[in-house]
Amino acid sequence: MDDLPVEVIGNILSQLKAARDVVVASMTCRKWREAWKKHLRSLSFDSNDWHRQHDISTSSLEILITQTIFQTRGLRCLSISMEDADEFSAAPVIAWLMYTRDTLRELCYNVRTHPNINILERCGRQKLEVLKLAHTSIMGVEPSYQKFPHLTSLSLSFVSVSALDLSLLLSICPRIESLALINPDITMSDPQATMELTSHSLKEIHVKTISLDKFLLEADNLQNLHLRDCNLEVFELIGKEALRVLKMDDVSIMHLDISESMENLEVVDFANFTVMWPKFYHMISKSSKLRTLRLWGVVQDEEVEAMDLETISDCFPRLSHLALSYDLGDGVLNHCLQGSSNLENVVVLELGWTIISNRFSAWVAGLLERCPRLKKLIIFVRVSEVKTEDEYGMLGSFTTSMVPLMRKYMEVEVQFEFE
Amino acid sequence: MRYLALPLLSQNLTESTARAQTLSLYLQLSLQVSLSQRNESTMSSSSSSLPSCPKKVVTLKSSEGETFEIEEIAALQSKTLENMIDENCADTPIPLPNIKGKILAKVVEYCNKHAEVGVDAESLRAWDAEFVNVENTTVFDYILAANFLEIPTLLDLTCQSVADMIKGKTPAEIEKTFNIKSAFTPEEEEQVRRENQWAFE
Repeated sequence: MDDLPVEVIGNILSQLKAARDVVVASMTCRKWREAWKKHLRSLSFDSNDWHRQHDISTSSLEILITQTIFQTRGLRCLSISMEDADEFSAAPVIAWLMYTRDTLRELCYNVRTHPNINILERCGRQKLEVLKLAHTSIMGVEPSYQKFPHLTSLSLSFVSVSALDLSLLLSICPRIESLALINPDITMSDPQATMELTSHSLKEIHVKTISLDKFLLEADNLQNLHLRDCNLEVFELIGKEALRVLKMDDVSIMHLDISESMENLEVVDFANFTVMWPKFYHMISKSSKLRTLRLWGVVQDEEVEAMDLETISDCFPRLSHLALSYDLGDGVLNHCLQGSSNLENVVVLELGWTIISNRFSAWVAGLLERCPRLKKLIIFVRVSEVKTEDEYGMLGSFTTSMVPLMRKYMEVEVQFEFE
Repeated sequence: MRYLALPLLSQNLTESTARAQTLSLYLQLSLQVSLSQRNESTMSSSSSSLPSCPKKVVTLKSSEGETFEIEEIAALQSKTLENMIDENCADTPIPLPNIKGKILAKVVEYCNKHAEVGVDAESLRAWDAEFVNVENTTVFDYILAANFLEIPTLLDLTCQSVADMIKGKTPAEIEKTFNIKSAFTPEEEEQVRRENQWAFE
């Protein structure tokens, strides 16, 4: 250990991240102290670490963070997360940002300050590659002199920002690849709640908990789109054959318009997704490269038919992972199992239900027959909160019916997961 | 192949003209064939992706003189080796006098594994975890080798595992676990501790 050069010790201390651990370790010996002073790259302060110490005042926190940061040099990653703490005063926070401005590549900032600090003004924009902000607000983005030339990853969590400022912010990040918007508070000047985002370099976007009249996303190189807990009247996506992964979780979109060929789509993962299904089926029917398809608890209108196996096998010859949770109402079972073409490449099958029915075992049997290369079957057993006699009965008979099936398909590994 | 100018064979051709034209046709054909053969042979000598060509290999020599071969593509993970390959110094065995054979073998194994295509992230993580599941002294040797050869992924992996060992220990415990000799004098320690009292509460 003594042979390790001081820069390497700096690397080891940087991997510790939590400030307390780093400070304690640096006390070990002179060389480690030097590593801490000159070669520390990464430091993290998390208010959760101080829970053990009851009632440490905010001013004490301000003092110890300032003291610690100012003992280091050349810090590249700084993370300050004061989720549970009261408001800090602006002066020390500004000092931390200014001190690390020239070398910082990653900043995670979750600090409430009084008065509010314009983080975009204060942080070093030249070298920053990753920026994660939480519980703060962004205002007055100035494209004329503000630029983030190296920013590749931006995450805004519980951040208050105007729709205009958000779209300006994207425009000043010419290399941005990953954007996460979590519970944003988008303030609008228009009576119509519209968000328009344009980025040529964006590869993945993750939006959680948002409710808008219109969301327009123009991203030529978008590969990964993930929406969660979103309520959108109109969602327009303008892409260019780069989309690979599409995930919707608890999402409702009234009018969906995707100008993307969908030809390179590999993963479609929908859970509790409300959309105009016929239009959507038409859109993904050209995704012949699809490997994973998950249609879980997708709301079915009376008039809309569930995607049947014949269509699935025709449209997606390369499908290897299929997960379906349909409500097997009258006629749905027969409709879905119609035809005889097999799902030749499916190796993993996940099946579940929202309401158990007697038809489920026939459904499982039918699917097992149509997946000749199946290796793994996972059954998601959902037991409702109000358990009736009927439900117990159906669960029992379903379990019993699974036994001969498992015997028949010995090569298939079967797993049961209870929800 | 360019189009051959096919002579028109009409009834008015005399026998000698027909013979001459047929000969010229054969000449053109043979020229085309030999040209395309030459093209193929120049292509195969410059391309390294044809299976008949041997993959470029770099030879490394440990401190005890043992030699280890590593494919060029795997060696590129080491910035030191990459520079040597770029400057054409990698044609003879590269001596690494401060890396023992036992360690060098494992480093080559690491580079080979991480140069493989189509390995999913999960199984690679598990493999990495196993790789560093060794004695402390071995981990330090890996660190020194990764530092010398400038293999950032291996350096981060090994430093992380040492960091995990340090986490939660007091300075005295760290000193003991890692057999560190150059400790502070009591005065130095006192001063440094006072500056950072909060970390010890």
